[in-house]
Order: sequence, then C-alpha cells, then structure tokens
Amino acid sequence: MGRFVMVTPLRPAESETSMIKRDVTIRLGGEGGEGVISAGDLLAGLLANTSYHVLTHRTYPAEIKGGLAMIQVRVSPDALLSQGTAADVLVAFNDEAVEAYSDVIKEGGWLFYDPDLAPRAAEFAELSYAMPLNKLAKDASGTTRGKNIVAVGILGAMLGLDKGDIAARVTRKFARKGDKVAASNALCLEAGWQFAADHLPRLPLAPAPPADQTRVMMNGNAALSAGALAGNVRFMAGYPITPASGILEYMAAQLPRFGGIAMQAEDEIAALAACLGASFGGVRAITATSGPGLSLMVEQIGLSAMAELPLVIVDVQRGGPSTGLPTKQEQSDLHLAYYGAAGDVPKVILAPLTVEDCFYTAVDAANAAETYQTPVILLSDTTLAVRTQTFPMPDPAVERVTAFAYAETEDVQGDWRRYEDTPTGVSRRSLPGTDGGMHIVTGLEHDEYGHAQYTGTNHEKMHAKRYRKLTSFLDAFARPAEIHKPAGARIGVIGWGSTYGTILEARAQGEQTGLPVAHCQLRLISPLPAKTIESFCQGLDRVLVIEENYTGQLAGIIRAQTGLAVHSYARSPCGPLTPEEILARIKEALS
Amino acid sequence: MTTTQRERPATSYHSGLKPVWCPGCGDFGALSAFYETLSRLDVDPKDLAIVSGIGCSGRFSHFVKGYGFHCVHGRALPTATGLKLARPELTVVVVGGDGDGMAIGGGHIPHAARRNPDLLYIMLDNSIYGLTKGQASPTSPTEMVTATTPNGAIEGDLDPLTMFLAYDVSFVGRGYTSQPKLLTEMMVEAMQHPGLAILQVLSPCVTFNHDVTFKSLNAQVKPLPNDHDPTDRRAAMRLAMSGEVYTGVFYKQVRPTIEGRLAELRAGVMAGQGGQPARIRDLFDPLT
Repeated sequence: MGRFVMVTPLRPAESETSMIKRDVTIRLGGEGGEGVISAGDLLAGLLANTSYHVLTHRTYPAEIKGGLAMIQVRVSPDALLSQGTAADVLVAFNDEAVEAYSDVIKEGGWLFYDPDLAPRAAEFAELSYAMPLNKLAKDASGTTRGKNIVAVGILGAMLGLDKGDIAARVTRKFARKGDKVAASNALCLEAGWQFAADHLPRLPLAPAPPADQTRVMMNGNAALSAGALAGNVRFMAGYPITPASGILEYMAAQLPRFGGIAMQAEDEIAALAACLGASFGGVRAITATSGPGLSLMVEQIGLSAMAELPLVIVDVQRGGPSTGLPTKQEQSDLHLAYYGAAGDVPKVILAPLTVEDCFYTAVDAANAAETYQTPVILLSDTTLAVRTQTFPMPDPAVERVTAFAYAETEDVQGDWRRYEDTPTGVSRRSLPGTDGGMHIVTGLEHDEYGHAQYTGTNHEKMHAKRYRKLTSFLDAFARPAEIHKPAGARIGVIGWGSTYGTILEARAQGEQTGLPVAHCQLRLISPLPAKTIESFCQGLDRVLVIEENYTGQLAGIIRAQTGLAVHSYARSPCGPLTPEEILARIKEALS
Repeated sequence: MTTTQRERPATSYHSGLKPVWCPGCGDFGALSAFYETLSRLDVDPKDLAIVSGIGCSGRFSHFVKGYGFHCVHGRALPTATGLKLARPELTVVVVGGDGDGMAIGGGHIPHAARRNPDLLYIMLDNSIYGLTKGQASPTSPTEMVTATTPNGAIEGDLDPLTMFLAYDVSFVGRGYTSQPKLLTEMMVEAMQHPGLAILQVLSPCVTFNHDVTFKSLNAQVKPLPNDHDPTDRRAAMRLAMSGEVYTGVFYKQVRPTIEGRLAELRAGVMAGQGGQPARIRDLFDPLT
C-alpha cells in the first residue's frame, strides 16, 4: 500500500498496436465457492480450443467454504513450460485476493476488480479498473449466476479474441443445459464484452497458431490415470486424500468401462492390501495417495519387495510434514519413498516431469512393476495434479505395454521354484489357477521354493537376487533423465519431477543473456542412474540440485550414492519455484 | 462316497512342510478339520488360495497345498478381498489368530462385512499372543497374568462372536478344535456359504496360556440349543451375549456379494458401450 498511485485508465485507442503479446498470464482470485476457478477453467478451455497453448495453475483453499481460491491462466501461440511468474492481469473477485496477489502483478500490469466485493482494490494497483460483475450479469440476464461468463466476456475482449467464435463456443459448451441457460450466458458474454470495449484497456494476444496437431487439455491426475489404464492396470483400491482423490474418482468411473475394478477401501493400509491381493491374483494393480497415506503404506511396500509382487503406488506429494499443507506444492516425500520401509527394500521410483509425462510414466510404472515383480512408487505432486495443460494427444496405438509370460502347467513340472535365482534376478511366476504351480508367498525370508528360511547364506543370496532385478531394470529403462549439455556450460542444474518446465524456462532466460546452463532432469530416482549423473557432472565446475523441499532430499541421495559434491538449492515456498529465482541462484553459484 | 473313494483324500492337501506348532497345539485340530473339509468339497488345489496373517495361526497357509499368501499382521482380510475381486472364481480362505484379527486387524472386519465377499475366515482364538511368547490378546480374560500383564490384565476382553453379529457378517459360527467332527461340518457349511463366513475357532495354546486351556474349555463349551433358528440374528445375538460358550452356526443369511454386485455393475456399464470394453482413445477429448 502506498506503493502505487491511482491513475486514470488507458483508453483502448492509445494502446492497440504496440501491445500485441505472445505470452499472457491472467490470474483470477476470490473466495472459494464463488466460481472463480470455473471462470478460469472456462477461459482456458476456450483458448485451448482455438489452438493456443494453455497452462493453468491453481490453488484451492484448504477448507470447504471460504478461504482464497486462485487460478492462473497462461496462454500463448507457443508451447508453454511453466505457470508464469507474474500476471499481466489480476482479476480480483474480493479484497482478500487483492491483498494476497497484488504483488504478483507485473510492472505496468492491470488489476480488474469488482467494486462491490473488493472496494479497497483501487488502493493497491497503479492501473486498476472496476468491473461490476454482479451488476452486469443481473442487468443482462436477470440473475447474478452468469457473472463468471461476464468475466470471460471481459477477458475475451481484452485479449482481442474473435467475439463470434467465442460466443459460438460458449453456446455449444452450455447447449446441453438447455436453451434458457445458453441464452442467458450469451447475454452475459455480450454484456462483459461490451463493458470491456467501453471501459477497459486491451492486451491483444498474437493470433492462434494453425491447428497442426491434435491436442488435449487435462490435469496431471487425469493424465496419470489414463496412462495407468493404457498400461493395462485393471484394479485400483484407494482412500480419499488431497490431492490424490481425483485419481480414485477417475478410476471409479473409468475402470468398469475397461472391465476393471475400483474400490474405496476403509483406509490406506486396506487399500494397499487389496492391491497386493489383486496382484497376487495376476491383475495389474495401482493405488494413489499423498504423504500421510504413503507413510501408512510403507510396511506393505516392504512386503511387495520381499514377496516379489508387482505394485504401483502413486504419491501425489503435498506440503508436509504430518497433515502439513494439504493443498500446497512440495517435493518432500522422496526420502520416505527411497528409505521408508523396514530393511533393505529394493524398489523403483519414478517422477513424471510434466502433465503429458504423467501419462507415459504411468505406463512405464505399470510395465516395470509386472516385468520386474517390484513395487514402483510414482512421485507426482500438487502442481502436476491440478495443473491443466495442452499437450499432444497421447498415442495409445504405440505398443508400450510389455506382456509378462507367466509359467503354465508344462513349465512348473518337476522341481518348481517360484523364487529361482536367475542372472537377471527375475524368476518365473505361476498364477493361482495354474495346475502344479502352487506355492507359498510370504513376507518371511525364504528360499527359492518360497519356504521360510533363516540362514545368512540364503538371506544374502536372496538380497542379491532382489537387488539384481533393479540393475536389470536400470539397464533396460530407456528414459531415466532428460539431459541438455550445451557447449561451454560451466554450471549444471539437476532437478526431478515437476520442476522440469520451470528449469527449462530459467535455462532459456539464461541462454538469452549468453549464459549456457547444463540441465539434467531425473525421471528415475531409484535405482539411481548414477552413471548418467556422473557423466552429466563431468566437466562442470559446479552442479546445483534444485528441489522443492526443506532438506535437499535428492541432493542427499546423490551425494550418498555417488560421492559427488553437488550443491543444494532446496526451498519449500508452498508453490512452485520461479524461473527467475532459479536463474538468480544459478548466477549466484557461478560468482 | 467313503473317504478312500474320494479323488482328493485329506492327506493330498498336505503341502509337505511340517507344521512348526508345539505338540498338542489346538491349531493341529483346525488344520486336520480343514484338510478334511477340502477333501469333502473336492477343492482343486490349483484354485485354492489361502491368505494368512501373522502369528502361529498365520503359518497355516504354509501347510496346505494351494496358492498361499502369508501377508503382514492384521491385513489378511482386505488382501483376500482384493484377490477375490480380481479372481472371483478362486476359492479364497483367510486364516489368522485373535491378535491378528481382533487387535491390529479388527478395524477391517466391519468393512469386509459391508462388502460380503465370498470368503471363509477362520479365526483361531487362543486368547494369547503365542508366536511372540505370551502377551495378552484382546480376548484374554480380565485379570489374566501374561507377559505384558504381570499384575493381571486390566482391560476388558472382547467377544468376537458378538462383534461379528453386530457387524452383520452374513455367516457366523464358533467351533472348538477338540471337536473335530463338528468343526469339520461347520467348516464345510461355512465354505459353501456364498458370502463372508467367519468362524471363531477356539484353539488353546498349550505353551503360553495357562488360564484358557483344553480343560477349562471342555467344561464350558456346549452346543447351541437345538431350537435356535440361525436366520434369527437377534436370537443369535442373545445367545452370544448369554455368557455361555456355545458352538455351532449362530447366524447365516444369503445376500449379494461384492463380486456379484461388481459383475452386475460392469455388465451394465458394458451394455451401455455396445458390450465392448472402452478404448484408451475414448478417455481423451481432442481439442477442436
């Protein structure tokens, strides 16, 4: 407050030609339950359908009613990498949004506010404009229900979109709600559009690119779920927890359509137990949870490893520790995933890099679990889970599902050993229903027959066998990391999972100023691709491990496993890191 | 058909592994009754899955020829539920003890009852934790001296049977390993019951429980009154709460199973799709 001074609004004619933008970020904020996020989603959908690239970022309040809800829509004719750091426009539905988000407005950016709900907004921004949404909706359609559509009309006009096209799309979208709603929405859209034309400045967006590829827009939870189905998963048991509940809900609706089963268990322990039971029966099974749920599941992750039963566990990470910050971004469950279960537990840990990557990594996880008879932990997070992003439609025709050959009756004659030690570590496996293939699967240490065995010789032999499977997987896995090592780079950055796009943007900004930055983004964390990391670090003066947690969890694992003297930049700001901040830190590391 | 004429005599279900139980353990009686039950029903071992918990009783799955899954403490019921849903054609049996089933595992029972999967759950109750050498269990009587209650237990003891009835399990019975004939008959009936059948099987621990013993149970155990109607849940509850140690089938009711309802649900969904499973591309809404 006091930082900005109220000035008279720019008139559209003054600004038109000089301000065409290739990259616009609009943030909408207001009270939870008021339709703020659905307004943003509607705008995002309209833009995506006109073949723009769109990326949204949102935060829900932790409670059901009240609290601040926010959605940020970034749009461009070019591909987008992250949610954007500063907003060209903040649309504030209440005072709280203004107070919380006015710092996010770019210099020279605008604040649109509803004067009835955010009367103090004018004090906060240099360029602030009143937009009486309720009044406009009421006057146009007789009810305030369409105020979201008024806001969309305002933003559409501001962006210089084609009115007829947008109007037609809105009509089509609401057609199934009946003529009355469609007509009412059309009036609201028009009212908003007209108001913007008369009173508000323009921020015209560069034209949409030609529609040269089929794209979809979905959030990470949906992409991951679709990937699991593409990966032949046909059983899910889960328990509601923010921000993973969306996966169980999606699967509850879709699995029956594929002949599969989804069930809500009484707790996370029962959910994982049911998955293990299904896996024992030979069905690919998945569960999805967040940190508190994964904490409950670690015992049975150990069982999965010891019994060599396939299992996929999705952890959509959120702020911790304990109940923590249920709706906030964090990457702080890595240590839990890596070290959590009792004993020496071999497991695969994968972390998808983008919303699109959630689909393909889920397929990889399902394949790895069955092929190597191992638990696979898939670390997603709040950012990916709720972010909607346009990306090329996944191609399900690509043969990505690996079939596992189970032992048949003729294979299990004679001396049948379910846990036979082999060069790859992977044993043949017979499923219930196979004549002659009966055996005991136990969490006790066992010999090759599966019988409980307590000698040191056997224990070390079975340890070696189980860990050898991971080596076999590491040798075979085609995409452990995305690496970019430009000539002349003296500094490198290692990230994991969802920081990918942000680091790419930081790198791009760095390259624009003549600073080449090497970048290694890990998708595979266990087994750690040590050779890949060592080779990446060669020739670099300094390597910075960037992550969104307080204790530098990946840096710790890399140091422990490789001995490399990597530096750590670890922060837990309750939201994604920004490209600007990362670049600043890189520059600081170089000096 | 006499036992010698059966295709699968009781001995054909021995896994070949020698039970690790103490000589005289009640669990031997339960195991024999179970072998006999499988033989009478001519269960094919390839289609038999036994999911067991942790404890002396949990080793049960190692000694029966079939597909055994010896999982973690207290979680055999949900594990078996997942297996039954994935492979409904299998015969799935759950075995565990009073600690595994009523302490750590107790919270799963009402949800199994709600789902009513076609499972037989044999709860071997010796009112003690035997494998860990003699601690109190939820069914140890108050004042009993154990390794963890050296001055006598001060908590009340649970009655599993009353709880099973309260949770509305669709088949509830109590047996005693000293009565192999009756136990076998009840196991056969329970296994044939199309739904969740839980049998509390009194199975004394001869090594660690000096209060609840074959001698003390012999004096207490008696059959349910002849005129008891097992479809009458209230009557069953009254008998369970009476303080007597009755054996027999307390309650049974045939009702839909979760796998049955799921099959119907899936058929309905499939019918809406022309009888074919959906395709992956159906999951996506291409942008236009």
